[in-house]
Amino acid sequence: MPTDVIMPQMGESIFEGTITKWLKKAGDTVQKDEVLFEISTDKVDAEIPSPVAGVLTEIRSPEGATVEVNAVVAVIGEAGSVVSPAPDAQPSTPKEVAPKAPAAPPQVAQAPQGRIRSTPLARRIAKEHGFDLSRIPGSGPGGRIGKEDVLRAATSPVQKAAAPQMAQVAQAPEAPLQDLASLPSEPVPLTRMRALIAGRMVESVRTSPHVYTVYKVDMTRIARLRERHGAAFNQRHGVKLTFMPFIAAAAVAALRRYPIVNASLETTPQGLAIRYHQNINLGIAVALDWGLIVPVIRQAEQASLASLARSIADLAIRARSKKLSPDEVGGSTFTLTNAGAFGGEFGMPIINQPESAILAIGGLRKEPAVLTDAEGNDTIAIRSMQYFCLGFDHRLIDGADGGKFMLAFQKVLENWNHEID
Amino acid sequence: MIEYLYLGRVDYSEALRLQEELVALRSEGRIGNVLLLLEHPPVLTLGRNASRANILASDELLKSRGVTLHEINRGGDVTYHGPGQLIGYPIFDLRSLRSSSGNRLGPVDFVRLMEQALIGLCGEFGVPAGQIPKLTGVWCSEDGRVDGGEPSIQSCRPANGAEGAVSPAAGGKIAAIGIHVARGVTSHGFAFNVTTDLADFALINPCGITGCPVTSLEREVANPEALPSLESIAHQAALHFGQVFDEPVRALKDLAALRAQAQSAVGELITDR
Repeated sequence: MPTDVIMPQMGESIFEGTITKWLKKAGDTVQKDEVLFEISTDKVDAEIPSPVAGVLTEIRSPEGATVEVNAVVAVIGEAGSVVSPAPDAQPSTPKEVAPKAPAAPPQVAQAPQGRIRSTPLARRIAKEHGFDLSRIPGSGPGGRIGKEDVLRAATSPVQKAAAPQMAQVAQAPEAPLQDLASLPSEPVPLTRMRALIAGRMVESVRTSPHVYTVYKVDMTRIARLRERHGAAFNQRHGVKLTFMPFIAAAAVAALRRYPIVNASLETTPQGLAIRYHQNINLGIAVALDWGLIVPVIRQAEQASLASLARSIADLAIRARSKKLSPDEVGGSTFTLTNAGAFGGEFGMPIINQPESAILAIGGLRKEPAVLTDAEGNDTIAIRSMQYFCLGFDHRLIDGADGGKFMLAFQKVLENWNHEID
Repeated sequence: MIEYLYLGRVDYSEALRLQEELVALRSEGRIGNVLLLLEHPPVLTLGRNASRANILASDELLKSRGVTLHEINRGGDVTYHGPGQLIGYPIFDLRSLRSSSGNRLGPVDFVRLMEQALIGLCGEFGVPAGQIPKLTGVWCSEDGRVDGGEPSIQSCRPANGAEGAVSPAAGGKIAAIGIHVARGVTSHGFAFNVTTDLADFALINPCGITGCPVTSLEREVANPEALPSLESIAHQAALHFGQVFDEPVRALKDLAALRAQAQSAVGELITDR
């Protein structure tokens, strides 16, 4: 899907900008964050980077043009997109970037820039065999990789050598053995973020008496829904249907029933008071290489499943690339955190002040479980089970509240009967 | 947090290299916001919008006065740097800063704040200074009067004499500003005239404005002999930056200390929010 490149705002009361130089031309391949053009104004010269990787298909504002802030100055399309001529170019036929379609099979084509287009079947086969899709030439329209391309690549000797290099995204790569002697010999001062986190953690534990309750939820129903509707969902909404949106939706549903879990304690002239929040602003803790951050989905009670899925994916990506805006961080009323990402069963998290509770999501496991049918007969079946641990502030939330909240949360997930659209 | 370092006299090209190094480190988050304070040997710099016609002196004259020429990628036209002029290069990540209204700081907002810091610095010496809309930089008025923060210069009128020299306390531009932004990080910055030999400005049309009067702190204070050293003024400038950007200010011991910081921050990121 093409991305608009817009004129950024250089200052609070600046409403337009002048492009002084294009560093790329229509048809050029661009990397994310590569400099596209420069703006000059008021003794400021700023390089403006590309928001995504792809092909610069169209330049709408040439050098010297003055455009309004937020106006679209260029468009970046996926690899293989048709390129429009520049506004002041000679009237010639538009350049067409040739799709990657090699003649002979065992040829390792250059990895296409931007998203790799492939059929779901091709992706599945590639994944099963551990192939790197970016190394497989596609013979379909726009360089799309189909089943035949993957199977052909499977027999190519070059591909076989490339296979072991493909990173398994799901597993964390094993850390290399450290040479202890090479560690810093002097104490390393804390970075700003680390110091902030340290301070906040101590503060939170000091402020709230933390109590934990752990629930095991049968996620089999959700797992099946994902399998059944995942592909269509992805097609329709452009984002994967993971377990997270279901979990978020269930949390929101339970919070609506038990608003005390969404509340916070405040100091008023009369003493401590409970502030019930008008909205459910869901914080989603994201682990970064350099620390952690909690972007927020505001007014999650109004979000559909699709909108939750999109927000979660988008916020995580932008959190990792440091592209969150200030109003996307802070102001959460309840936080979700992933304690199972590295294989743990469940975690006991620290509350994200000034909230009163936090929900840690454990690892998803296939386990044998006892199922009782309508007649009362017990059988053992294989089910997808997941632990969830609610940490809460016992000053305002008692065990009973916490338990009822978790029961409601569990029920939503185990009996999911909403349409997936 | 703003860390700053006074480097003394540094060659222009060396300062450019240092800025590049620090911009890269800042964009990786391996150092925080750093303000470099220094002095240059005589040099003329041509910014992106520069025109050679704005250099009034011939190449021979420049050479005979020991003035070198540099073309650079910052905004603005041509300007002069030399001894007695305090140079400040803030290497700040704009995303780590917030305006007083809590919004993101754009590059132009950043320039306005820099002007404020320098206006505050002038104030320390009892010199009223201000901004002129559409004319980036810090200006002192002709008669020392400042109405509502703006000096009473209506336009840059030609100064007296063929040399373009400025009469005492005639007002004019006391600080020039030009910045570059790459990867959200600023470089280049300001040039604040303390005891700069203003005759050297006759070599150019500063900022491409014909006959633009230039002034210095020495020219504007009642008691120029009492002016402290450039280094001392550099420290005061850093404090004003801290005030205007609402950040604590810390003096760095030396470049080695800054580089050591970058080393120890390997893999970790400082995000000031």
